[in-house]
Amino acid sequence: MASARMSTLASLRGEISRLETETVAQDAQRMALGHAGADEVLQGGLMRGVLHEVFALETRQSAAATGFVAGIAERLAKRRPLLWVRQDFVETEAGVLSMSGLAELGLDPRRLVMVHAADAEVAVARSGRRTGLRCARRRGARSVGRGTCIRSRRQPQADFNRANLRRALCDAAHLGVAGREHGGDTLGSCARRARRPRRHGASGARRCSTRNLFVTVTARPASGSWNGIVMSAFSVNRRRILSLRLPRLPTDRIRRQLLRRAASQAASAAPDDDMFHRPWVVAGKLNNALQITALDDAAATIGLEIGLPLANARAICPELQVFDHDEAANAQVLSHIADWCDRFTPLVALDPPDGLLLDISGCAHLFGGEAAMLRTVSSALRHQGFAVSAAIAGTPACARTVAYAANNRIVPAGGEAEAVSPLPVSALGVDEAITRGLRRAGLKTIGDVASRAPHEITARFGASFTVVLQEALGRGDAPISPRKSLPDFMAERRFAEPVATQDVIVAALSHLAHMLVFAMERHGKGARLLEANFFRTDGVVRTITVETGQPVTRAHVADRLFRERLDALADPLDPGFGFDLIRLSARRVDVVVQAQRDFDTRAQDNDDVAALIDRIAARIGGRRVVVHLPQDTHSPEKAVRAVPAQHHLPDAVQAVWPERYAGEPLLRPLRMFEPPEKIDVTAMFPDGRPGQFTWRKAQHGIANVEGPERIAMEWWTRPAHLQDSNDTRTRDYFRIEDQEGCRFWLYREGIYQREVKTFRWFLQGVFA
Amino acid sequence: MIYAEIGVTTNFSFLRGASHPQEYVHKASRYCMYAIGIADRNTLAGVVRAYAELGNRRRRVRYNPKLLIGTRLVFIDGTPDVLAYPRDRQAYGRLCRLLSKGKLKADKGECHLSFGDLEEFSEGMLFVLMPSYRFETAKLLRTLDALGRLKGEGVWLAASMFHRGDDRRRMLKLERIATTARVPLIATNDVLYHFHRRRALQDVVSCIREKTTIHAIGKKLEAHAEHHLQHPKDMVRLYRDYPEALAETIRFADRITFTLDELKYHYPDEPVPPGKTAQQHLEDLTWAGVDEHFPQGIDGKLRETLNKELRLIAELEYAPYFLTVHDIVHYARTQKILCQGRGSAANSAVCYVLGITSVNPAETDVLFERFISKERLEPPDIDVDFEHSRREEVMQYVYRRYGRHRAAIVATVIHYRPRSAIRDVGKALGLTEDVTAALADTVWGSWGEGLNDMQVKQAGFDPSNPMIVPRVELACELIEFPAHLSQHVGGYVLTQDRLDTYVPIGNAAMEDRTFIEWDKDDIDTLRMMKVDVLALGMLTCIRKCFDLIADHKGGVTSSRTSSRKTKTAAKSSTCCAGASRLACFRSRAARR
Repeated sequence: MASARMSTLASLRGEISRLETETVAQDAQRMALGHAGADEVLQGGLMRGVLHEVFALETRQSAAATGFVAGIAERLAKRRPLLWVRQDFVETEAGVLSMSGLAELGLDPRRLVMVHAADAEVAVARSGRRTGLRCARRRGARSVGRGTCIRSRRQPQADFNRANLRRALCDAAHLGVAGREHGGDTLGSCARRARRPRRHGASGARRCSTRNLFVTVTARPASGSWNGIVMSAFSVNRRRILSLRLPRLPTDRIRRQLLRRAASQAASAAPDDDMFHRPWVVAGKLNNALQITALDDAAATIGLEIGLPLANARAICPELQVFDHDEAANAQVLSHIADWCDRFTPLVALDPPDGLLLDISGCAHLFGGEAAMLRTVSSALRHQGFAVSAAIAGTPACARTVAYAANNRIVPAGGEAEAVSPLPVSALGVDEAITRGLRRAGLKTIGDVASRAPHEITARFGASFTVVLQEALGRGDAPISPRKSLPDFMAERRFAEPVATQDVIVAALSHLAHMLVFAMERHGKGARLLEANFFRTDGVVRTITVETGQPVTRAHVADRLFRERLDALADPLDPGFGFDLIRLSARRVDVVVQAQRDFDTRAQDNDDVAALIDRIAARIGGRRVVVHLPQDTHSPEKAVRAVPAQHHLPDAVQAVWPERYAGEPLLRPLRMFEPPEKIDVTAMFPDGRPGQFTWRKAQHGIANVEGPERIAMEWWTRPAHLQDSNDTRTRDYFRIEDQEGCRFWLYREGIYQREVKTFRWFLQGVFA
Repeated sequence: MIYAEIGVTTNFSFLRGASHPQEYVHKASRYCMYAIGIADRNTLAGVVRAYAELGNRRRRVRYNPKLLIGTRLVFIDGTPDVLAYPRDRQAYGRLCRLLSKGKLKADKGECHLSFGDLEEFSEGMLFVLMPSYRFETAKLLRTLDALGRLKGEGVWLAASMFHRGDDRRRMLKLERIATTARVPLIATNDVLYHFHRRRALQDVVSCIREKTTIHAIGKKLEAHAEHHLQHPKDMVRLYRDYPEALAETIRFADRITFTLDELKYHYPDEPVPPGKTAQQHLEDLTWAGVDEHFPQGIDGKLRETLNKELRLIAELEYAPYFLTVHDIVHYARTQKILCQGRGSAANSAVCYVLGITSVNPAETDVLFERFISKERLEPPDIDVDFEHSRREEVMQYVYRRYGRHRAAIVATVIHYRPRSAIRDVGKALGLTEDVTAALADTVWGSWGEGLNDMQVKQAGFDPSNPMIVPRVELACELIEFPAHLSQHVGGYVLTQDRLDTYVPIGNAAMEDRTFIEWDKDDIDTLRMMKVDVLALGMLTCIRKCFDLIADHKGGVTSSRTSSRKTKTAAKSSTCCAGASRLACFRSRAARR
C-alpha cells in the first residue's frame, strides 16, 4: 500500500516537474491576467483545466483573494454556471460571501451555485468526476508567482476524474503548496461535456436477479384506496384488517434487552439465570401509588393482575422481579415492530398501547393467503421474543376484539357479528366504566349488548361506544390511519436468502430503480423524493432518502444518486445478517413535462447543473447546496436569501438583481460577518466620522471614509415591547479604507439622544 | 434666524406626508424656525389649515414662524420636481391658475402638468429645483436653464441630504452644477413628517399608496427617519460644510411677501343692475316683496324688523349675498322648481319677503339674533333645498350665470375614520381580513377617537398582544388624516373676479362638475361666501303630489302660494307614502 502510494506520488511529482519546465504552445489554454509582470512569471497566464490555489497574505486581505477568484471565474466561465464550494469553518473566520458584493464586482449571482461542505474534496471531487468539472483551487499570489501548477492528464472525455483530483490534492498536500488557506474557497466551473453513458454494476444486477424471489412494482391509482378497492358508504365492506396485539410488550422488551446484554457479556459475567425464572412485573406510579402496569405469564399464573398495588403483589409473591415502567421505550419498540410490518403492507397503523393494525386488503395472497400470512407474522414475532395475539377481520374494531380473546383467528367477511357475539364486553377494549356498567346491567357478552336497541345503548353509554360496537359487529366502514403516507409508486424485491454485500445491494437498488421509473413513466410522472427501505432479517429497518430538484425520469439517475448517498453515509448501511427485502418508493412525484428542446444550450445547461446539484445534495445534504435570491429590503443582512438549490434553481436563474449604478463605487462588501464583530472606534462625538479602529486586536488607521449611510431597522418585524432593543436601532454605515489599503464596512449603532446615549461600533464586512 | 424649511410635504399630499399641516406649524414654532414653507404635491389643499393654526390661541408657544405658501410641482413629462412659491398676490393667482389648468386636464384627484405649462404662469414665482437621489447632470442643467429663462423671480437648486453614504460626493456634484448654472444652492430636508417617530406611520401610508403590505413593499420605503422636520441646530451640523445653503433659506423666505391675509374676497355683482349699489337693489327688492306678500299693508312692528335687518346687512355688507341667493331662488321659481330656504335664514323677515323662506314673520315670532349677529362675525347661513331630481338644472344655471371660472363647488375632505383606518392599517401590516374586520366591527358609527382596549377585547383579541398593539396604535394615529378630496353636497363658492386666482379648481368625478381644493372650514377661515344649493327628495315628492292633484282636481297651481303650505302638503304626502321610508324630511347634508 505504502509503496504503491509512494510510486503514485513519485509519478505525479515527475509530471509536475515536467509541466513546470514545459513551455508548450498552449497559450490558448492559458488565461492572461492582464498584468504584464504576473503574466510573464506565469508564462502567459493561468493555465486552464488545472488546479490553482490563491492565498491571501493575511486574513483581513482574504476578501481580496476572493475578489481575485471571482474576477477570474467571471472571465473564465463567461455565461456558464459556476459552482462555488466553501468549507464550513470559513464562515465564522472570514465572513459569509455576500452576493450583493459579488454582483457589484460583476459576477452574476444567478449563475452561482454555492456548496457548503465540511470537506471540499468530498463534496466536489467525486461528484464532479463525470460532469467534466474543472476545478481551480486558490493559491496565494506568491505561489502563483512560482508557477506551481498541477495539471491533470488531459483525456478525451473525462478531463478530471475522481482519482486524479484526489491524488492531485493529496499530492499537493504532500508537496506543501496547498496548505489550506483560512478562507479557502474551492471553485469549479462546470462545463457541459459530452458524456459517455456507462452502466454501473450492470452485471451485478443480472446476477442478483436470479436470486430474487419476486419483484413487486405497484402504482397507486389516481384516487381511491391503495389496492384499487374503492370504498364507498354503500359498498360491501371488503377491507381486511390484521390486528396484532402484544399483551406482554413491556416485559418482552425488557427480557429481550437483558438477554442481548447477557449474550454480549457471556464471556465475562455469569448470567443471572435465576432472574429469568422469577415472575416479572412492570410497575409505575399511578394515582400516587405504585401499581402493576404490565406483567409476564409467570406473574399472571400466580394471580397478579394489572392495577394491583405493588405492595400487595410483593406480599403475594416476595421473589417478584420489578422493573420501572417506561412508556417511551414501549412506544419505540412498538414503532420498530410497525416498521418491520411495513414489509407486509404499506398501511400500518399504531393501535396504542400495545397493538398494531395492518390493512392487508388485497395483499394477503402475496404471502400465501390469510392463514399463512397470519402464521408468518405471528411466528416471526414470536421468534423475536414477543408474545403475540393476532386476528384478521373486516373492521379494525372487530379484529382487535377477536385478537383480544383468541389467537390466530380469521373472521370471514360478513361473519363479524357471529364471531364477536360470544366474547365478553371487556374484549371491546372500551373504558372500564362502560364495561362495568354493562356488566351491572346484565349484558355480559357483546351479543347481549348487540341485542338491545342501539338508541338505548347510546343513551346510556354515549355515541362513541355505539360506534365501536357497530364496527366490531362488522357494520360500517372504518379505515385505519396509517403511520406513513402512502407512496405514489413503489417497487420492492424479496430475497429468498438475505443479501449482505454492498455490490448486490446496489445492484438490487439499481434494478428496482429501473422498474420504478418504468412504472412511473407510464403515468407521465417523475420522482422528486425517493425512499429506499432496507428490511433486515432481524427486524431492523433502515431508510434512506434522496431528493432531486427535477423529477427523475431516468433510472440511472436515481441509481447514481443512491450510490452517492450510500457512499457518503456517515453511518454505513449495516446489513447484519442480511436484508431480505429492499423497497424503493417514490414519496413525492411531479408530472413530467416533456418539452421540446431548442438549440439554445442554456436550458440544457440548467438541466446539467440541476443534475449535478442533485448528486452533490445526495452526498452532503440538500440544505448545503444553495442558490441565492435577492430580497427587496434596506436591511443589509436580509438583502440576500440563500435557499436550497434543488427547489429554487429556476427562481434563482430568473431572479432580478439590482444593477450597479454607473460610476458608483462598490457599496456592499464582498464578505460579511454574521453577526457583525464589535470593534473599538475613535470618532468625533456625536456624529463624526471614524478616525481609527481596532479589530481583532489590530489597530487600523483610516485613510479614507465615506458615509454615513443611514439605515433604520425594520420596525414591523419586532413586537412592540422589543422596539428599543439593539436590533431596532438605526445604523450609520461607513465605508472605510485603512492605511494599508484594506477596505472595511463598519457601522455605528444608534442615533445620539434619539435612541442612545453612548454608541457601539461594529465591523460588518470587508471589501475585495 | 438660521434656517427655514421650505420643502414640507403634509398629509394633503395624500398617502405621502405623514403629518398634519397644523403639526408642522406647531413644531416650527417650538423650534423658533424663521419660516416654514408648505409645498404639497400639486395642491394647495393644506395651506389654509396651517394658516388657521397660526391664529390658534390655544397653542402654547406664541412664536409664529413665517408661513410660506407654495406647492411642489410634479410633472408628468419626467422633469424633476420643482417647488414653486409665489412672491405676491398676483403670482399666487397665477400659481392657482396653473394648478387649475393641470387639474382640469386630468381626472378627479389628479393633476397633469408638463413643463411647458409653466411658462404662461411663471411671473413672480420662486422656483426650487428638487433633484432626486440619483440624477443626470445634463438634465438638471437643462432644467435649470429652462427655469432661468422663465419670467420667474428666481431659481434655486435644492440640496438635500439623503444619508445614503455618498452625500458628500453628491453635494460636490450639485455644487458644481449650481456654479455652472449660476443658481444658488438651498438647503431643504425634503420633509415628510414633523417628528421622527412618525416613520412607522409614513411607512404604512406608503404601503396603502402602493397597495401592498409592509413585508412586500421593500425599497419603496424610506431607508431611515431623517426626512422629518429637523431642529435648526441639527441642520447646522448637517450642513456644516455648506453654511451658504442654509443662509440661502432665510434669503429665500425674505423674498416672499405673500400671505393668505391678502386674499380679499369680493362678492359677485351679477344680480345688481347697473347704476345701483347692491344695498339699494336689495332694499328695492325687499319693499317690492312687501307689496307682493302683504297687499293689505304691514304693521309697524314688521316694518321695524325689516329696517333693522337691512341696516345690519348694510353694516356688514352682506347685501350681495342675499341678492345672489335671491337670484338663484328666483331662477328656480321661473323654472317651476320647488325650493325652500332654511337654516338661520328662516329667522329673518327679509328672506321671507324676498321669497327665500316661507316662515311668515307676521305670524311667527322670529329670533333675529339667530339670523345674523355682529359678534359672531360669520356670514349668514342660508341653505336652500331644491327638488332633488331637478337640482342639476339649478346648478348648471349657477355655472352659466357666473361662469366656470367664477363658480365652483366646495370640497369635502374625506378623513380616515376609525373603521377605515384600522382596515387600511391592518391590510398594510399584513393582518388578515377577518382580524381587521373583527376590529373594525367594534367601532360603532363612523366617528370616534380610536380604539380602546375595551374594543380590542370585544373583537376577541388580547389588548396586550404584540401583534395587535402596534396596529391599533398606528390606526389611531391615522384617524383624521385626509384620505382624499370629494365635492361638497351643494356648497358653491362664487367670486367677482376669477375664482381660480384664489384657489385651484379641479374636476369632480361627476360630469360637468368642478370643485375647489378647500373645504367649508377653509372657506370660513378666509371669510369667503358659500351658497348652498341642496337637494331634497321630499320636495320631489311634493312636486309629484301637486302634479297628481292637478291631474285629478285640476286648477291648483304649484306656485309659491301653495308651497308656502309645504307643511300640510308634506304631511299629506307622508300619508300617501304610508309607513314607507319616505319620511325623510331633511336632506342628507342637512342632517349632518
